[in-house]
Amino acid sequence: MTNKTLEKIVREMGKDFNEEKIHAGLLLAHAQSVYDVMRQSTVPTPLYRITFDEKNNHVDLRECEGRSYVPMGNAFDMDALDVIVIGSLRGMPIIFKGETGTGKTYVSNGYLSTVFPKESTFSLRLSGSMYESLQRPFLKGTIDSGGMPKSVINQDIIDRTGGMLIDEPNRGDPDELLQMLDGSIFHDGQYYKLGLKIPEICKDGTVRNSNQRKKLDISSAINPANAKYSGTVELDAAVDNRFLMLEYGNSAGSAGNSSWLSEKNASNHETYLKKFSERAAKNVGVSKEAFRDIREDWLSTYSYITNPARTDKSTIYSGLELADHMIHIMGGKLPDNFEYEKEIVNSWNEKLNAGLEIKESLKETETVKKVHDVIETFKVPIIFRDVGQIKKLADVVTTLENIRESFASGDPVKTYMEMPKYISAKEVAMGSLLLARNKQKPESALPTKVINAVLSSYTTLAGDYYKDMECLNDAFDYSDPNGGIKKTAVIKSIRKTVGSGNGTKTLVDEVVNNAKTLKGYISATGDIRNVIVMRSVADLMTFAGFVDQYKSDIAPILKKYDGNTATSKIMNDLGKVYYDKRENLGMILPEIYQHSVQRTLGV
Amino acid sequence: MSMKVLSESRDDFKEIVSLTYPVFEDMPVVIGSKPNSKSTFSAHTDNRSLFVNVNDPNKLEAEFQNFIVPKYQPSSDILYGVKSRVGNVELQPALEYDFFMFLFGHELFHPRHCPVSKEDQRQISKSLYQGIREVEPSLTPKEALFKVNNCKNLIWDVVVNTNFINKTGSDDALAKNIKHVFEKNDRKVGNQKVKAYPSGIGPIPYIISAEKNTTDKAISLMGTLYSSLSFNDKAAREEALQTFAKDLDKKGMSDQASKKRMNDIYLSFVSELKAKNAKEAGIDIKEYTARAQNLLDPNNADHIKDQKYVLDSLVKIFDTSSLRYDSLKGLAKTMSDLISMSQKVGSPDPNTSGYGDGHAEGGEEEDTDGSGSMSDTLDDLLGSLDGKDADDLLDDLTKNPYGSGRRDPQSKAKSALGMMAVDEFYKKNADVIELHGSRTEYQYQDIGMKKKWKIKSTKTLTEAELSRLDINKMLAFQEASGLRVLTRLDNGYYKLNEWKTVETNRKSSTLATTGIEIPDNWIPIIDSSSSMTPAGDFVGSGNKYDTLMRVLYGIENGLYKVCKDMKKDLNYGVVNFSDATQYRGMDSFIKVHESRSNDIKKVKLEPQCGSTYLDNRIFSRIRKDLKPGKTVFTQITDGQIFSDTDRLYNIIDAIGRQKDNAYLFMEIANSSELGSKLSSLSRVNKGVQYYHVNNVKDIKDKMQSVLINYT
Repeated sequence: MTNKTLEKIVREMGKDFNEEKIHAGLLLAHAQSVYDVMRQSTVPTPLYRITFDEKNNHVDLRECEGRSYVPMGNAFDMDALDVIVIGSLRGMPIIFKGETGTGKTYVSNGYLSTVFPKESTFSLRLSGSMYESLQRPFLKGTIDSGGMPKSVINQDIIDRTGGMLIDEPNRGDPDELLQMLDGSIFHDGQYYKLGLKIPEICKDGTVRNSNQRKKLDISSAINPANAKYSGTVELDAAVDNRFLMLEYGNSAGSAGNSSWLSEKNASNHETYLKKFSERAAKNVGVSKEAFRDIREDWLSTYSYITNPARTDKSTIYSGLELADHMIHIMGGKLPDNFEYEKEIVNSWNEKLNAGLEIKESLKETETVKKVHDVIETFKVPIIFRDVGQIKKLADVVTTLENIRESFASGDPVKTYMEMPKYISAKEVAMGSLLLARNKQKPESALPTKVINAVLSSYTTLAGDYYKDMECLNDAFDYSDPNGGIKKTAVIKSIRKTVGSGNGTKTLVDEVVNNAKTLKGYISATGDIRNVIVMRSVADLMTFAGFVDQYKSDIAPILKKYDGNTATSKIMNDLGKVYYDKRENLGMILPEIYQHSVQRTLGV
Repeated sequence: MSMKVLSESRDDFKEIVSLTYPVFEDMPVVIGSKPNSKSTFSAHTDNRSLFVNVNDPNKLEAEFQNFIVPKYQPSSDILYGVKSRVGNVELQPALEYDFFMFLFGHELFHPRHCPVSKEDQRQISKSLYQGIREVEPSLTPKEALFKVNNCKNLIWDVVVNTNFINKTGSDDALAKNIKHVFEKNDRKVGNQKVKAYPSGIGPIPYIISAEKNTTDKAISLMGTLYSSLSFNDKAAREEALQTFAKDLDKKGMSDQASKKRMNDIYLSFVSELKAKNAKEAGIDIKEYTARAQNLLDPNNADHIKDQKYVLDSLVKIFDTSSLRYDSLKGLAKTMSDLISMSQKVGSPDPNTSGYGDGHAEGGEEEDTDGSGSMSDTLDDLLGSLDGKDADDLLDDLTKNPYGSGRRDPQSKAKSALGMMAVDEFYKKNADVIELHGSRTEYQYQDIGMKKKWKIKSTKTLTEAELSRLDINKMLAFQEASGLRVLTRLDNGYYKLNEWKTVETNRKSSTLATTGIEIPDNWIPIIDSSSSMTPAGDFVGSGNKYDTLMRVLYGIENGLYKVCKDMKKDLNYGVVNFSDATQYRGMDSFIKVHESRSNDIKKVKLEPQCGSTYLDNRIFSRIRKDLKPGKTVFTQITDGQIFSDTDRLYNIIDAIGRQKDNAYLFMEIANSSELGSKLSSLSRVNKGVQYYHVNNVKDIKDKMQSVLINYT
């Protein structure tokens, strides 16, 4: 793969070289051109409308089933093309599930044939034959010395393949599909990494291909496993978890005959490349000449634009904290989990002689029963990978928001470059809602009530806690980088410790004191709030235990910052102690620290 | 108009719930009307739905017009937080709207705040029981149980209403979300915007009751409590307090006495708290006491502050596990002498169990005789009291279990309760008789599926086509199965066979000792004459009926276990014969065994203590109720049956001759002429069994063997 286009851009920018601008300009040109070209031949299929009411901490989901709705201020609309475009940017395979003839395959194919030349994509329709291999596009046949045909990997095909459409992936071999989703194939005793090589711009202005590959853009279509499609089987659970599966509605009713008016012949890669080049040159501020070799360079340019690392963004502490509570509560068995956390707290209490004993239990209240009822609708329970899924979904929402917000401004590139890009509790709540919906059995009622219950319990608890801790900002703020219940407790503890010139004993005592304040929020009728409180208290007590156990490593840090209230730096340094222990004492570092300390420090 | 206002209030309430209590957002809120009801409105919840009915809209409007609007109008600007007073015409629908909102909120707050779980309900009942017994030691356990049952709704309502008043009048999420919905929907009273939920709504149902003179002392005191805690305007508060003072005066409680009682009630919430627990929860008992004592002082300039302090404290107390139950115990102690043993108290309408008619709030739908609520209370207490206290309660209930007072308005409920207690007594005290079979028979077991390979398809492929397929898989399959997959043909072609498995069931048989074969119908026919039990109080007496019940329950406990394990049920009915031959049809054995109150159980547990007469016509009635399959009759008697014994002999003979039937005739201690004849018959008719038994073990063994082995 050649990278002449990128090199020309860098050369033309000269001393004004700004890689962020290059990426923003190319990304926005790509997004705009995809929609421009695709909309000429396909009508949009609205999937979801998510409304978020920040004032009341309330998120709502509407499954559009193909219908389009009047634009509204706080509504976030997502259609099939949005999902495919952002899925590609975030390296997330997509499955559309819906009736035959609604256009699931068409839109996925449309995207692939728009952004890739013919030879760089494949469309596989699986038949369920036992010898059928998902690897077949990457294989070539040779005859071995005994005269038998033999299949070997065609590396050239791997290197030039950017995307695949797999129709009915449930009919394929789950092991092969898993490998493919994880970015590789195993053949003849060897692993082959799939995807386009990602170029990187070197300091001297040259561009070279890195060892990183951008995962294949994989989209799939599947019929619902119901009586009408009796041959359809459910996806293997491990495969299911790697996909983002979305219900695909039928937009025929809403779009009517709009598709007759579409310019059907305009959808092709050539048109896309032409439009992309024009827009990209303008966005980045270089001549059209820079894009003269774009056909030749396209695959590397595409992988540069859609490299997930480029659009990766951090999650602010309160978002991380909310995600943890979402996963914890959606895991179900709330009374059992409460008892487990209680045991942790009481064990630390005994060990640290902290004077913080929990006696309360969580009963199977009506609220708890209702939460469990929703969790019962999940096909498979919440698992560790779902933490990542929430992050990905929140990321999809944020990325889409960022790009849309940029287009809505007068100077999209500047706006995109300057806007803070992070995932907050808001996007976490939206991502959690999509994840929960994705995990449900067909025909289940929406899981919105559980998401909102966790969201409102968390945000009101945080607000109450900020007030009691006399924080400057005494209401929950989605964009506050210092927000978060445990972060507030840890920051307050650190400030009191370093401000007074005291050592680890004081830090442990202060963390315990703040955990005691939190414990005060446990109530006889608190239900979900109690679960959040108990997990937070257990995390803080575990952090106190960590400080106590590694006091000889932590004391110098506290001494170094004596009188200094740069809490973020101190938290980072404490985080380094944790990472150092994990690296060097991995075998004897208690598991509980690995489970809890990292999320408490948010590092 | 009320129905329209009810509907509007419901719609806004649902919006508020969705924002404030999301897990309850899809809980149906059912509104309607029950025109035959005695009350003008009613409300209840079964924890799955909320129900509010306006039963007589015209009358309810008249009640608002006559009792509420005149009291609230002069303070309407302050209550609603608007600039100027609201005219009567505009005020009435606004008050009705907020009153309905209170009813919806009240019902939602039952599962949300009290009782929040079965465990919570049990702990509350236990606290009330202990409080009542402590303050009235002369009460028997049974009487204390009646009092608990009759005051539990009042106690739950205190937790619910204080929470509602507090949360709608503070900076709680509920108040904020009400404000948000009012703003969004542009709510107005007259032409003025309403920005918050008005104060003073909680006491409205109590005021209506007091004005209609349908209160008891407890309800008027509760009205006083809520009034002192909920109005933000002195004049309106005094109006409401005066209404209750007059009402109590009419009931013989002077102003001074009612104030003293109210003072006791305020203090009762903290009187039983352990100082350490209160301190830990941040409750300052001293300050609470000082402020609470000012609440009824009309000249108290700090009423609003005191009111808020007391409300905040109460909500905190009720929300703290270590204080909640002690506090409610204190309240029960203070209210105990006002709690009737025969009817519910503390509800605006004393003839009902909640705000209206016919339903228990926060629990299951009440039986018309109140036995549903009573059985819940008994269940709560038996599930929460310590062993000895639970035994004492059970013992007391099983003495003269069915009461005697025909004039007692709750005699039906008490009788039902007695039956529940007796049932619980035998379930608890009868040893489970394990049912084992002794038959050996072939049993067929599914030992899995048998797989066979069959060719699914055969294709001819070119080399290029073949190389695209997974050749490794083909070779591995060919090697492992020995089946031919790939055949090389001439000219570069290959033949590919694809195989599939076809599965069939494979079974294995073994000779096993199993034999527990539950019949399809079982009918115990029980002699309840005076020779079996001379008086009705047989429970735990050691007499023949008591012994028989212990055996019967022992068998039933064992049979229930087997039925559950085998996931099989049987058709069950009981005949009780003495002066009359009683039979109430047949039903699922599991259902009858699990239910606390059931007609079939009643037949078994209510001996007649009369003569020994069996009406033979009963068999033709039973025959109509039988399900197809095996049927076992088990007749137990202790003496000469005075009926047409020849006819009875023929019936038993005929039953025994029918395929799959068994008739066990068991005589305790004595031998009768009929018994001798049946003994002879049993030698020629294998379906008839006769046993003369002298002790419990004999009865157990014989009954078990016939029931499950038909031998």
